[in-house]
Amino acid sequence: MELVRLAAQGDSDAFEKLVMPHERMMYALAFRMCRNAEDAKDCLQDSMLRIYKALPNFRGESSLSTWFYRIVNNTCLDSHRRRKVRKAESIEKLSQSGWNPVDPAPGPQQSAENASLKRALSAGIKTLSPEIRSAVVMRDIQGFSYEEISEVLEINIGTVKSRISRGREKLRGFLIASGEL
Amino acid sequence: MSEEIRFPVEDEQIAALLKGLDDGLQVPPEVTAAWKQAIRSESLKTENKKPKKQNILRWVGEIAAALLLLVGATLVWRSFGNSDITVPNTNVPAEKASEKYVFYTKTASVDSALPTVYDKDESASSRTAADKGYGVLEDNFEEASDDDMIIFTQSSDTVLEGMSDFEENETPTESGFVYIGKLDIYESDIPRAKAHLETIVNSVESAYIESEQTQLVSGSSTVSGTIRVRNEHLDELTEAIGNKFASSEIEINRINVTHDKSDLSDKLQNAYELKDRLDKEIEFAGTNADISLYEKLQELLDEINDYETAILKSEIDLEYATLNYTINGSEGKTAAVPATYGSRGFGGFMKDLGKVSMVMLPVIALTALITMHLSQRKRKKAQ
Repeated sequence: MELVRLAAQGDSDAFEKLVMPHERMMYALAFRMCRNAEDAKDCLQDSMLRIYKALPNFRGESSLSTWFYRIVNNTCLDSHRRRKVRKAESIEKLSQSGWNPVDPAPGPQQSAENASLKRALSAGIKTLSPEIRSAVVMRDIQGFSYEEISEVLEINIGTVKSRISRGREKLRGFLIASGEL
Repeated sequence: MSEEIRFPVEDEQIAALLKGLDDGLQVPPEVTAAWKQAIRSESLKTENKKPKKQNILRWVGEIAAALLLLVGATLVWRSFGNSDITVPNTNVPAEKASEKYVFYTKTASVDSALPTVYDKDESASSRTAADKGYGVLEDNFEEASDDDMIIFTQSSDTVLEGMSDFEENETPTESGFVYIGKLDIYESDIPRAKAHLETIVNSVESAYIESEQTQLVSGSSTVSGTIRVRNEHLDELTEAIGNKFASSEIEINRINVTHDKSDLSDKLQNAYELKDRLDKEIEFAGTNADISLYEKLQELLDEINDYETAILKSEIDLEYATLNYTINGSEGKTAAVPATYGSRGFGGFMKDLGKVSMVMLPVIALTALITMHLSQRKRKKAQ
């Protein structure tokens, strides 16, 4: 809490120490919510700034991590609303529009199928609406509980489950259409 | 041909496929550097925008400026409204007072002014006028102001003419005028004032205290009495009193009683003549004189006695001035120490400043509160 207090007073070093443990998860969420890596970088930066400015007003009603992810999610949604995201129908069209998913775990041992599947999943996630996407990403990729997702997205748990279910269904359809399933 | 992996079409399968999708995801160093740099920049901005601590001296300066405005406005206002700063002198020296009230008429001769019953030589009094400063009294003499200790009044019958020079032995015609004065002394120590007055009276030739009484009025004692002094010594008496008592008022009235005296004399003369006629009638009637004659004679004798008494009194009044005095225990009419311009000005200014401040302070306080509240809100918004 001392770190929170110092960071709230504007201590940038204290702020860095505060958010660094959550940086990867925050970036991962931003990565999945944004169109490309460059947007994810911008989104993360904006999110950090928002957190830095809003930290003095943090009342501790939720956990710090939940609060961080909420801000990231909202920042990405704001970014999405400012841009018209064309809905890609296929991986090819996404690639043509400049989509260049970063291979999260490139490695020499990765099989071609796995890589193809992951690319398909990444592409499929992009086709989801932001509201559904955030729920699916947080649940299925990042492993948040329904309660945590409910807190971050500020929706009730039933809505969280509903969104997740719809997201999975769409992904399944996308994978089938892509030939991955 | 590589076989494509077909997973069971189950929601949980999708979840399983998604799980671990980002296990190898690492935050690129440039991303970390970018947001860190952004935070540091924001931190510097915030440092520069931090509200400065309230400058107490600034507040003091603002208050001082407001007070200066109030003081300046009050001074300007008072300068327009302050028309007369002169302080009237309420303590006229006695020597000036004594010059005012004595006036003499100039007639052709002393005899014409005196009633026939008077012996000119007995009633005449000599006086040198030059050193007394007798002057001309105009009919419409200026009414004495409140500043003056001596107020001269005159009856409508007074005929006053200037007499600038007297022969040393020429007797001013005082007969026909009586001097009746009113003396008010204001002293807190009445016994001492009484003693002083007695000393003065005893020191002036022909002056004496005819009567005196002490009264208690509204909780404070008052001594009143009558002083008689020959007319020619009245000046000396009033001057001595004025010099001794700083807080005193003397008012001398000069009344022309020539007509009254003449009228009395005529009546007396008639009464004498009537008595002579009655005596003759009684003598002629002898023992057969009617009793009514004797009654009439008695009435006449009483009348003559009254006239003679009145004439005698008026003779004394003509010769002796009457000064009715009162020694007051209160100092209500004490001539206050004339306030200087500075003290009057400062006192009045402070009163006016107080009035102005009382009116303006609530407005100033309210303005200050609103300003402070707005400043605090602004700082909160900046945060």
